[in-house]
Amino acid sequence: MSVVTHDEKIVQIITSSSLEPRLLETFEKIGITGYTAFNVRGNGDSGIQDSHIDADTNILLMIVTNPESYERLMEALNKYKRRGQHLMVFSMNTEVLS
Amino acid sequence: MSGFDSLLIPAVLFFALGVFAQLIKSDLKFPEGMAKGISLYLLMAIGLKGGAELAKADLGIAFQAIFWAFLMGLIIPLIGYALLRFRDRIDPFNAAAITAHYGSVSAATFLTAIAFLETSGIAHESYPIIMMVIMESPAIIVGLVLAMLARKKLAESKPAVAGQESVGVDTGSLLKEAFTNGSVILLMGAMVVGALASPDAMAKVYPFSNEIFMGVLCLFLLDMGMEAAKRIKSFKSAGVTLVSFGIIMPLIGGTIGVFVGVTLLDFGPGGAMLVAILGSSASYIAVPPAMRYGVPEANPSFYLTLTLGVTFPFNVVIGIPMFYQMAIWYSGL
Repeated sequence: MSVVTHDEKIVQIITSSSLEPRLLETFEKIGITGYTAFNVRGNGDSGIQDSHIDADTNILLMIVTNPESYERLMEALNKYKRRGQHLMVFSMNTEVLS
Repeated sequence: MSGFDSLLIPAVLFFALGVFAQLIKSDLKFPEGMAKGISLYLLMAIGLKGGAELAKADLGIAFQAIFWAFLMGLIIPLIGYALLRFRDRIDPFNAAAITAHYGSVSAATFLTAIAFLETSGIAHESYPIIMMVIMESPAIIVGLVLAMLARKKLAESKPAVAGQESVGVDTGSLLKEAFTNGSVILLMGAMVVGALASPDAMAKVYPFSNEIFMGVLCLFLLDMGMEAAKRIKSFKSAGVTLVSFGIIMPLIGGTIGVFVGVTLLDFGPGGAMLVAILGSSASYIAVPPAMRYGVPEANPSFYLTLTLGVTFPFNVVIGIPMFYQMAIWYSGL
């Protein structure tokens, strides 16, 4: 049995849940329609984020995207960062089962 | 009830238990989302109770209460900002974000104050509940405007740093979020329901809104005690100036509240103490998300440490009985 995969990019964003609606709007503008969101906990520059109240709830957004949308997404996310918003963004190459 | 006795109410004792549990590193923990669920219940219950009482209230006084609440929401953060910026102690962005929290209110502190009054059998006006709804949002506007002015001043004094972009905040959407915040909508909606529903129908809801209220509040304060104690670790990074501000600012806000309650609204000591708590408490629900997006230059750990770790415990343990005594003393002048 042969397995067919194609190359994509995974982008993961850790940020405050208060940014979620705006990021989703950005995804929509870029044409990204699919994403997965998790509630996550941790500690960092913004202090303890333990999902106790809305103000200290962080999310992890995961997007699998093609190389064209990837460029536009990273540019848009960079714009958030340049404005001083707190986001941790990292990406990886991935193979997706066709 | 005064002095040490005022601390011996179950809600405050459960708060102390939460602090103790956290300090001894107990594994006591609430399931995820439970604190958020309990706070929804508390807002709904207080809204229903307040609405039922406000249905019988004087509209003229209600409008006056709304007016003064709005003004308090605008003035208190301006005082806070001036204090934080005194001798350039705190940078303008952190000062704007922190002070916005102090112009808004903490529903949990307000509910603890009601528990204090009801456990002690002290009568109080119900108008402060509608004042709480009004005071959730104006301070957010003040915080955003102060940050906007600071940004403008910074841009004039310093050339743009390469790779940095000025913060173009969508103020319209932020204000919409401030006024349609979940806690504001739930509280306001429950008040309308409480005011419109017939007394007979409301009586059927009393087991939910009245009888279990104090028990649920105890559970909530147990959790808040653990949360407050968790923030103690961050005191060092916040620094002496900010931690002191977390105590000085409620004293100023509370004193303004006593004056508004007694002199301008002619409330009894119970009602005036509730207005004082509105003036002295700091929001941790509606304001932090707005500041996280609207003032990204500010450090969220500072304002959460102050509101949850310093001002909330200060008000629960010291502020509530102290402002009640202050209201009695001032009313008697």
